[in-house]
Amino acid sequence: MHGYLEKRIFVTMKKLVVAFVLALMTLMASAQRIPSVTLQDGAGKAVTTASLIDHKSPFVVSIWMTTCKPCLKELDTIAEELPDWDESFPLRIYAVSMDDARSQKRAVALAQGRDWDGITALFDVNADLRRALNVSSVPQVFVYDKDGNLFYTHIGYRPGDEQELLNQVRKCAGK
Amino acid sequence: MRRQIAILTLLVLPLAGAAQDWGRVTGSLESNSIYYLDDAVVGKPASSWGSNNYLKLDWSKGSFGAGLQAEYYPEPLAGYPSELKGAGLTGLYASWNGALAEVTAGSFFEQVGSGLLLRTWEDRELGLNNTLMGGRIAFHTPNRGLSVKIFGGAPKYGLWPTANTAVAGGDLSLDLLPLFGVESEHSIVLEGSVTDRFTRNVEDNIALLAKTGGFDVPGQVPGWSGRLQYAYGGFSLKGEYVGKGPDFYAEHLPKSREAYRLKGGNAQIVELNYAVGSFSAALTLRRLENMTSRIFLTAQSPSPANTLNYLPSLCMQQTYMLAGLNPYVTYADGEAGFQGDIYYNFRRGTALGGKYGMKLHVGGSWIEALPFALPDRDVHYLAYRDINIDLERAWSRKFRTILFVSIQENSPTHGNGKRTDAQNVFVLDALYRFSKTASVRTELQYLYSEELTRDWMAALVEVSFAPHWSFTVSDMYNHGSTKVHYYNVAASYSLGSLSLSLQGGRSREGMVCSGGVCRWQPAYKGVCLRAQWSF
Repeated sequence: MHGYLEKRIFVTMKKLVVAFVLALMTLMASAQRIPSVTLQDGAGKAVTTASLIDHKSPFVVSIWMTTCKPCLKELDTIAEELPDWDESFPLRIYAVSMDDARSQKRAVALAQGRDWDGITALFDVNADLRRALNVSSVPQVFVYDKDGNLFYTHIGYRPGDEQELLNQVRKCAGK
Repeated sequence: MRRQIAILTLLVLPLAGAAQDWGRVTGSLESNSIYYLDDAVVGKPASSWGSNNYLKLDWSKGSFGAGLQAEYYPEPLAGYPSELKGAGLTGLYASWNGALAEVTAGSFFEQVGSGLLLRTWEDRELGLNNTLMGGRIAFHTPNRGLSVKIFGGAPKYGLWPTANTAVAGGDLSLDLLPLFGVESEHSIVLEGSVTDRFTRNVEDNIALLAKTGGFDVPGQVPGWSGRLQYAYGGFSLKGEYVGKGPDFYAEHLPKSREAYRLKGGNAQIVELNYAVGSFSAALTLRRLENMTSRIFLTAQSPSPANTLNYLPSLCMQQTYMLAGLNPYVTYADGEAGFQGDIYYNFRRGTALGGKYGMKLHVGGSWIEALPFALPDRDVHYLAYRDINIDLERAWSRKFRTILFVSIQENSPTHGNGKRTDAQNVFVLDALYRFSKTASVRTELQYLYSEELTRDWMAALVEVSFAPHWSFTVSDMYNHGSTKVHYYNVAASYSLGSLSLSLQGGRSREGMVCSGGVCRWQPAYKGVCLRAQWSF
């Protein structure tokens, strides 16, 4: 009798766990929007992530750091591709630095000194966006549609990744 | 079985239909495991394996949010704090985020100013997560002319919040021009913070009492900070003054003796930035005096997680293998110094830029240990200085190089002795793209030194196939003294937000530094598997 009761409890618990995991997957499957977080621009002014949504064109958020060489390579190559961007909508790239208070000023100088024309540098000084996006390592890029829903993400940078990124932006605009 | 599936479907279907109403779940999963192998040269850590695992889940619906973080260390990786062994719920929070206000109950990360007074953060490379468990309320005006927050909580140490220490504080920020309705391209921000650190005399500090000969360990240490920022166009200036009340201080005496007493602390930072066209420059000046702030006051808890503020080293954080062999660690008892960086982009089509452009970075730092923090008391000694030069040039659309030189001089005793160790590091980093997706990158490095383990050389070859695969082989060889090779082979794979890597080889002992905070890493030979997934 005792063994039967234990078995029933085990089976019920198993069903509940499976139901919980399925429910979680259902919630995860819904479109992820860009989290609501306040960043800073180069002058220290507040910039909300909501203000990046213009309801007209997709945009790219690239998470980088001054000490991350692949991040700099990725942003350099994107900047080099920008003059050849001939789509009917502007390519909006936001390079969000995860550098903390120690190297934030250095990040501001670096972004300016590397001439990332057409790329807007923003700063996530308190790592709020990093935590909200669950970024574990950099670089990581996110493509959001015109309404701020996540369309594509990719961790790391290998030379050539920028082409895939730009293709995803085109797909996102045409969806 | 069919009946069970039908029941589960009935359970889940309404949920799926109402997914919009149930909010969204996001999160991440990370696992980092190493199997250690026997090695006649570098030995083997006490445990034959280690594994650090993290799960983070966040739920949000409208203005409401909640989340948790769980960590599991069946056996912490070698070099990670031993207090991490086991499993724990290291984060648990509920929040409400309105248009003008934000309320958080549970765990949260907090920083005031540049973090000299208080900073809680997570860094998995260091095994550091001192999140506060408590509450925070923040408010700002619609134009953010005024922002205010108050908070309080107990920091996490190990896998759970500690009962030893608690902190409370408040922060006020006034963006003066919007506050008074002035529209301008200038920006003037005035900020101030107060904090209080409460420490109970539990076991850790009782041991200290016996050591100090009787003075009472401070149960409460107040702190304060004032900040001013000005920005216009490409120019910005930021100044910060930080002070704190009498705190535990280990005074350095001749013949390596120490005396314990209470002493206040203070720090000053000035940051200057200027940018015009392709030129930019940044300069930071900083002075520290007894600015250590710990969860447990004594050095009996040397874990990098035993900290409540952020004192990063005022020098370039090195990324090349040999340049980062002997990093500088901040001397919080008393140091003063500066760090400066200049960036310039020689644009395409200019005489020096050539057809594809050239980027130049020159940076340097100079830090002196202050007399009052040294046994001699009458002179200051060099703690650290360096000069770093990066020259990055694209020779064609397929080939680009970086030439890097770093000249470093480091005092191993933070100026408590006259001896310094100098090392000069030279790196050639070259990238060649075979096609739009295939590339090879090589690093050739040389370290010249007449001190410590003398000369080193290193090489790395990395072959990448975008957007998924890369393979790396590297070796670091100390041919000046120990004649030991530190070799590594690695493969990594990325797909969307999934990243996997498998690495094997021998690692050198030394300081692992992230964001200027360091922990000791023992030498080992092993195989490492790392997986990260965010959703």
